[in-house]
Amino acid sequence: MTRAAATNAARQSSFKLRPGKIAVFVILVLSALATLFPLLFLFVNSFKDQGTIVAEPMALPRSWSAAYVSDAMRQIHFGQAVFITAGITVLSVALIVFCASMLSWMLVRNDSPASRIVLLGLTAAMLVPFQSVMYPLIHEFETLGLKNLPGLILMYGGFGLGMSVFLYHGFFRGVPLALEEAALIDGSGILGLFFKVVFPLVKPITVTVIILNSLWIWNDYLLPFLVLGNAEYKTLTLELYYAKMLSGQFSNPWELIFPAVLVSIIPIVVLYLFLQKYFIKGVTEGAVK
Amino acid sequence: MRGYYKKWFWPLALPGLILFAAVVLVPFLIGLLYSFTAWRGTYFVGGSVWTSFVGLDNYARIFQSWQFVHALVYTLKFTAIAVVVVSVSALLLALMLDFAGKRVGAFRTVFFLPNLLGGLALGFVWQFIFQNVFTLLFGENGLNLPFLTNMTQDTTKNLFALVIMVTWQMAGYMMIIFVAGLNNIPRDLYEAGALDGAGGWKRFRYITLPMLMPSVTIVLFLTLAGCLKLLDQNVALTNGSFNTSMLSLQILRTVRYTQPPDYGQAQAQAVVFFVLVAIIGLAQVYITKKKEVDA
Amino acid sequence: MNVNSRNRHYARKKWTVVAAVLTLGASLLSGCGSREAKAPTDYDFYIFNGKTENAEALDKVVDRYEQETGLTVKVFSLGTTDSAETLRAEMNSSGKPAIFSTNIGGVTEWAESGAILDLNDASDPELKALAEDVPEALRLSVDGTQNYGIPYNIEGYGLIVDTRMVRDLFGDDQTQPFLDDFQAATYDEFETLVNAVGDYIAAGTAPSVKLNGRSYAFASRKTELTSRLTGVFAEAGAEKWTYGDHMGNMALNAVFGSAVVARTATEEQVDELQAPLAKLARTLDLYSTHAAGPDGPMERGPSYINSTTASYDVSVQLFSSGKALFIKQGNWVYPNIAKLNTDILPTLTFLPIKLPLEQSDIQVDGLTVEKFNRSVPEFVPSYYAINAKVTPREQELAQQFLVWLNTSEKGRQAIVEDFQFIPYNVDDTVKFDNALNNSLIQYKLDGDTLSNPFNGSPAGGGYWGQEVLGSILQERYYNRAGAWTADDYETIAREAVQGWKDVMY
Repeated sequence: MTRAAATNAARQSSFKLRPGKIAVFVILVLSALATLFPLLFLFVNSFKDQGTIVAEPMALPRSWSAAYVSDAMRQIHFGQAVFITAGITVLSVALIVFCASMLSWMLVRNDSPASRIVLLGLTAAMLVPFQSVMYPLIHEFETLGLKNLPGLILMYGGFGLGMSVFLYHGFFRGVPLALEEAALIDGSGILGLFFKVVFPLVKPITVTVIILNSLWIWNDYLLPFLVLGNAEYKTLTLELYYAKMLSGQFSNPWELIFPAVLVSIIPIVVLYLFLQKYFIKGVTEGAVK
Repeated sequence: MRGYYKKWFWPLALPGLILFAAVVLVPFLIGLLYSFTAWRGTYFVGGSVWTSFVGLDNYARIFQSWQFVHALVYTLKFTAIAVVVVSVSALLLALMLDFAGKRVGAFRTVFFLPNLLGGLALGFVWQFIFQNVFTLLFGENGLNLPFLTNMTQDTTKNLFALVIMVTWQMAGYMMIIFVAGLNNIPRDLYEAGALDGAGGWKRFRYITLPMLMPSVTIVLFLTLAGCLKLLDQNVALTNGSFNTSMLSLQILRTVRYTQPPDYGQAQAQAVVFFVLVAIIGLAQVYITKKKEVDA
Repeated sequence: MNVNSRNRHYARKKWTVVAAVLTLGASLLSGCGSREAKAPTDYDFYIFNGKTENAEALDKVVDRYEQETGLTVKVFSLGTTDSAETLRAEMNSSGKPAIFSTNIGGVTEWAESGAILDLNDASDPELKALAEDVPEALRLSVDGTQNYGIPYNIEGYGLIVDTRMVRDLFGDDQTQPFLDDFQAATYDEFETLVNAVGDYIAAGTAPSVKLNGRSYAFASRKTELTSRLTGVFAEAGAEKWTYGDHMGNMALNAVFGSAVVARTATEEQVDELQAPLAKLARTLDLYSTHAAGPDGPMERGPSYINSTTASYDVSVQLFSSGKALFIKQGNWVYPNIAKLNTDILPTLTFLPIKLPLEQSDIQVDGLTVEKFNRSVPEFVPSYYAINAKVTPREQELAQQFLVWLNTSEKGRQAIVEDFQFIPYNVDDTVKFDNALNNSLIQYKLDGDTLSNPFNGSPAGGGYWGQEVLGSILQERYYNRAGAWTADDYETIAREAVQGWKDVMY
């Protein structure tokens, strides 16, 4: 028996109150149901027409026709939007990982008052509300001819940097210098050293950086709205917003909104169910550092 | 060795630094500059930045606007309530999972799920739930709890509607952080506590809570920042009707509700907003870090 | 490998990385000098259209123009509330539109920035002449001296009624006299009519009513059509613009003769809105106590402003299915009704909105209470403006396009047939299939029109109507049950006046 298992068993034996455990279990089940309620509600109402949604929001649909779902998928250009959103997310996150890891590595290896100020500045950026930079930012990127998809990716790169450098920095401090020296003596170049030796060592925190940044970039609405607006290629959230605006600027066409929201959350939910381990690990690692 | 890294500092650090400067630093400094001008979005009154310089005028006008002051108070009220509710719910969930022992993976999966979903998309769903489902369930013909009916049609009730929605979305995430913190507490401590005859509450108060302070710091920081800067949920539920604008939304409305659009004023509001978030955020980290040390 | 060669090796690699970074930096900064007016490369000129109603049709019309002239024209249409922000972004970009849409509410911004060409200085003599022909009252200007745009069209609103409903209420031979007498009727007669129709819906019987002094008796039995009625008005309590903007504009018409007058109003003039606004509140009280619902009257209260059950779409649905006698809307509602019920399209017509004004409430020269109550507001929702910051060639081509659109046979045909727009210079030769357009043309030819001073209210009509007047009504009056008192009317008016004065600088 390992030590952890032994202490665990000890702890379990100290809680012998069965009723207490049952009560906790019941509360957990109720909380889980409450958490799932909006999603179940969303699911059920994605198969009803407007009148039924309004009159009997809690009832099951009379038939499970996928007409509303497929109509919504068409209206939000589902395939294209998923492709674009995924593309933006992947490229932005790759940019963040690339820039943040190298920058943090250099900041750690060149510890000086100047590099500490840089770190402080990057960390403080986590507190900058988007509103205080957005108008000048859009203005600047417009001037640079970058008010488009590549520009959007660069913006995400910049906004994701603060938190990511903070996370990497904490991790790099724990990477022993000796490993790097050994690699250098073996004659590897700086890029080889970084990608072959250093980067694999910080993989756990890279997972965190990927997960945390993907989550907000995938769901972000305001930045794509300001940068892409009503351009031909829109992200999923933006498609959703325009579908609501155009089909009912002055009303709520629920028979479109519900199925559209439903299909728009399916990709990330599926991804989550498959990669759950990494999601949880990512959040945990990010918090411990 | 040091010399070697020093030589490579600029080539490797530069991409990140350029990106950061272009996206955050430069716009921030430009924004600071513009907050002292009569900027109108596409032009400056008088032709250039320098001729449209208005000194502190934009700042002076911020607190004359009752809408801004109201949004400020509303944001602080909401944040105070939401931070407590989110953290406490997350802690309770974490403690219950910890207590229930193994085979709680499914619960963890479910509680974290809402965090994956966008505030705007789910905001539409919640809007319908608050307006129609809650009103039906808690109306006179239902459970008769008037406070939970028509929650988006009242300043105060909407505050709690937002709290419900934000708790739903954030509690699972914070729960994961607390669970990790709980797992880091050496079990020997509890055994020692049990030997000393400490009951459940005492063990929680004198062992769990102090050992959990690092997690508390992070949870408070994340919820504070998230709540102070909340926008999507605010737009989706009421879009500011019934005096429910929070600061993020109010700054957007400043531009929308002036003609010619007063971007200079909005920029000054954003600077004040940043100072507020920074002060609150840093103060919180300072205070909880101190507690960590004390514990 | 000795130490030296290794260092050189690093040095070479280092410079490769530096070069890569510099390329990235250069690409970030590229396009920096492109802010000056520079001729576009992939089109001859660019139209930014801020109106969705004619988005598709404009594409087609421009295609025809391209074939005729061999030019390449870029068109971008966006008509949601976000179009202002998008237009600003386009005006900041290197690909600026040569023609853009704006209106009386938004023109100050472009006049101040210098991006809008005063058509008095137009280089194209034909366009200059066209602009000079725009009637004084319809001109786009900041203070009345400039002439900044060519109107898109004319829109208007009032109480829309299905005349078959009138026929079934009062008899076939009474329909036309009723419509004529309704136009001339006083507010008190209108109020009596509304109450009587309400009683008739509830009880199937009501005393006869007087309009313009003539008596009208209700049919003794409800018909298939009139038995559908559940209320007098189809209301959209969730939509602040329907009462804040449009009904608010009615009260403003009593004090301000035009948007320019409203924009330059003094505090004393704004104070004069008190009486008309209080009377507007009384009128809205009447409307909201006679609102139609899906299965019976719709009562004031939380559901009256619910965005699901009291939206614009729901109100149009109620009217289209015959649940309400009137809907207060504009001619833009026509396509929406057409989607729901084509049967009622030919028999739709506009009747004037009335307010219980006294002559002392009216500050506009030459306007009488009688005239006010027989007129409908008609206005130009949007103008084509020329961007003074694009190249002279683009400006030239843009002007030629506007001349073609507004003077050539094909262009005028496009406005009426493709856009389904009432031309701003309409005459009695223009006829539509659209009964609501025809009704507005008739009011215009008779001279029975009011204006849109609303666009001169704070933030060019973007603030006061919805965020002040609309919010007061929606958040404190429509959302609760119970009667409104005369004090309530005064309070609504006082706070709406104060809300205007709060943002005057």
